[in-house]
Amino acid sequence: MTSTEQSFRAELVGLLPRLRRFGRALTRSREDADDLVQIAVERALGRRIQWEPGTRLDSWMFRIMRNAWIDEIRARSRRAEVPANDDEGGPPQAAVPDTHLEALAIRSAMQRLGEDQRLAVSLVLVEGMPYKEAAEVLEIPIGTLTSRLARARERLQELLAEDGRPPEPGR
Amino acid sequence: MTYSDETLTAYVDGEIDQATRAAIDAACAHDPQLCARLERQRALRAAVHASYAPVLDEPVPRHLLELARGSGSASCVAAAPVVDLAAARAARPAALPSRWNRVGVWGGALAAAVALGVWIGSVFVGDLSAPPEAFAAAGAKLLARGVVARALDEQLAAGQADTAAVRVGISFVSTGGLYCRTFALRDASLAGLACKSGRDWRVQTLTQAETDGAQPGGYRMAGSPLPEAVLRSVDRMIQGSPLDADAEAAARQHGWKR
Repeated sequence: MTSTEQSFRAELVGLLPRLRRFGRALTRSREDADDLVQIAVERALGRRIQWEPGTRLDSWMFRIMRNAWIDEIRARSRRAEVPANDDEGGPPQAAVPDTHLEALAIRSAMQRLGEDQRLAVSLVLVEGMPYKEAAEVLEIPIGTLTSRLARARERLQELLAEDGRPPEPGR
Repeated sequence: MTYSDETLTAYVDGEIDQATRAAIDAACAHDPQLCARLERQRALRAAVHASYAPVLDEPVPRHLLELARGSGSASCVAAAPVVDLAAARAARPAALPSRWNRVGVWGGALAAAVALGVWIGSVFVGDLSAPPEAFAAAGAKLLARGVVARALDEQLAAGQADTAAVRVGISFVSTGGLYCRTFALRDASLAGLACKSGRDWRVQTLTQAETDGAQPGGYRMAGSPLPEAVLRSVDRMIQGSPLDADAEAAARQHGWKR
């Protein structure tokens, strides 16, 4: 293993928790999320030479995951499959029940957003990426991203209000 | 001055220039409605972020770690030995979700799983059978957490309850001068070796324990030996003899620091 490959792999290993989180925001199940991460890591290793050292590896990985996920959604819709949804169990967490319920409500509202809006929210709100990088991952202008984010948030607020659990301010 | 939702969301996303930020702050002081809108956006951002944050604390599934790292031999987690192959093969049909057999993009994952061979199914840290908070990845390291870390910190080999979720086996000083202990998770059929490094128990070896055929998944520590992979790691790392009960108690007294 060359030293550039080693450092690439090391950086990739360090990113795995975030890739899994991003995957969880995009997909409905832990299994789908981890499958997606696996595919992205395989693809990344296969085209490692295309990555420019010094640029953000997280952006690059998110873009690969986004593309893989869109491919998968298309393949599933051709097969008329509904993606698995195992989120009722939620990720294991030692949260107080109220927080847990709110997190569950938010994740279920996220799943009801359109793919474009969910991608924008996943990158900016979940992953905390700056607009510029998020827009690059999605290959859209920043203006498109900001309006997508605003619409997505409006929709989330509506969905959470229907659920009777709007996020409480001041926490 | 009215502010659009886009401006307010850009504010809470930290994507707004100083002047606009100051103007909004000033307007907020005498416009409760604007303030409330801003606060709603802030709360939503925080809540969405928080609802996915626990994923970061989950253990990363072993197959992903191995895939990203390359071969297992280069990792700090010892490679599963050949003796585990049979167990891996036996475990694989159950470990692979049936949907992996479908055609489509996920076919690549199946091919990779087959290529990875021993890694899939042999040791699945992130598998459902492992307690969720038992391990955490920190960079390229795997750390014991939760019940496992507590057992390693507190339990002495003598007088452990049969029902303990985690049972500690051999304690010893490694050639590197660290206290190391073997452990086995009762319900998860996992056994391993961890060494106290700084504040953390760093997992050196983690492997699927042989399960009792009559009780699938019901690994019994009592009377059954540690998996060979763990024993080999002990052999490789041990300096002198295992700690006796007194030395073990003294080591615990010192917080497993030497």
